[in-house]
Amino acid sequence: MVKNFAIVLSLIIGVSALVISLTNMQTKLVFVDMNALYSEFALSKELNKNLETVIKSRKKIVDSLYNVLQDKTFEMKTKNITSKEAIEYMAKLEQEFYYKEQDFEKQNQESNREYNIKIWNQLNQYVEDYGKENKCTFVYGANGQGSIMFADEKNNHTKLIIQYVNDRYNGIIKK
Amino acid sequence: MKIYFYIFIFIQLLACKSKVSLPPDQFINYINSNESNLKEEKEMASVLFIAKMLTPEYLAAKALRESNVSKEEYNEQLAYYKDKINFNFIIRDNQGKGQNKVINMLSKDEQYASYLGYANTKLKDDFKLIVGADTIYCAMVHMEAANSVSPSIRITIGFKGIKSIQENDITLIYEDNLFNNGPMKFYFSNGTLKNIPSINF
Repeated sequence: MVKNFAIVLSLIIGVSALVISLTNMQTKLVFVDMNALYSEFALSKELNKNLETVIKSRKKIVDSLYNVLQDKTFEMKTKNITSKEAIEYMAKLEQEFYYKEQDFEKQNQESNREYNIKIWNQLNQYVEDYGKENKCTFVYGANGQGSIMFADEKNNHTKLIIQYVNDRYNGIIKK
Repeated sequence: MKIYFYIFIFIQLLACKSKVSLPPDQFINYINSNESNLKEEKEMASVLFIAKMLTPEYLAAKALRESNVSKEEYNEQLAYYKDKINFNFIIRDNQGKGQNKVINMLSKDEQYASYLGYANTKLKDDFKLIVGADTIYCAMVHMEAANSVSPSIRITIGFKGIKSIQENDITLIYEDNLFNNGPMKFYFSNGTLKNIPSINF
């Protein structure tokens, strides 16, 4: 009787151990919508807002230069001004306008590039931490360009990851 | 019998609510230890950023540098420090990741020179403190010299003119331009600040 009981017990323990180890071995694949993640990340919102303000103020400077250039051209034409100084002044003004326009365009692109590096540095870290904390084998990034053609919606962790990265960024949850 | 049980529970609740108080030297040790929850850490691309808050009480106790201080001396110091918060800010490599970005910055002459130049001019603007709805700008930055024994960047940062420190959540914002990680937030809840022991004499 005791022997039978011992056999049954060891069988139960063995089967349980097997089930547990098989469960642990299962791969956990999740995916995240990269566009949503990027646009909903608090840091992208903050930096894009900053960039918008900077671009607007740069545009104001270029617009005001353009207005001055137009006014002066109009004045020269209506008053028929042809002096050498006036023409030189106009050429300088025009040069300044084109220089500023190109320079600001370059600076806008550079700021955009820098902001993107900062955003992706942080996103990569937080998504890595999310994957580790949730014992994911893979976290795929779906960007609508064919990297993932189909995935079951139950593996879509976009909302959870957005919440996680924003909480981590704001320091509300610690690693 | 039941009444004794309720009295016991009541006493326990009171004990839970009452604030612990420590003598100045033990208070300093407590804040320096990790028990105080005044240390916040973030890892970003294999670099660790650690912010340790130094409260006005700590600064006042530390300024006296003696174990036998009177309450009056302490209060005098506290009156000076009551609107000030300092942080010890440490940037170091996460050794496990093996990328050594900080060590490279400190050991290569060209990178170190550019870091020193940055630290002496613009680093102060990279720190901000959010206390409730107020934004406080950094009043002082002091950088410790790096050495090969401890290859890390150690900075002390100071903020002043802070109203009602213990009644608000506090967030330290560091805009990381050294490793291009952008703004990082170190959050200290009002609850953590309220649970810091008081100093007794």
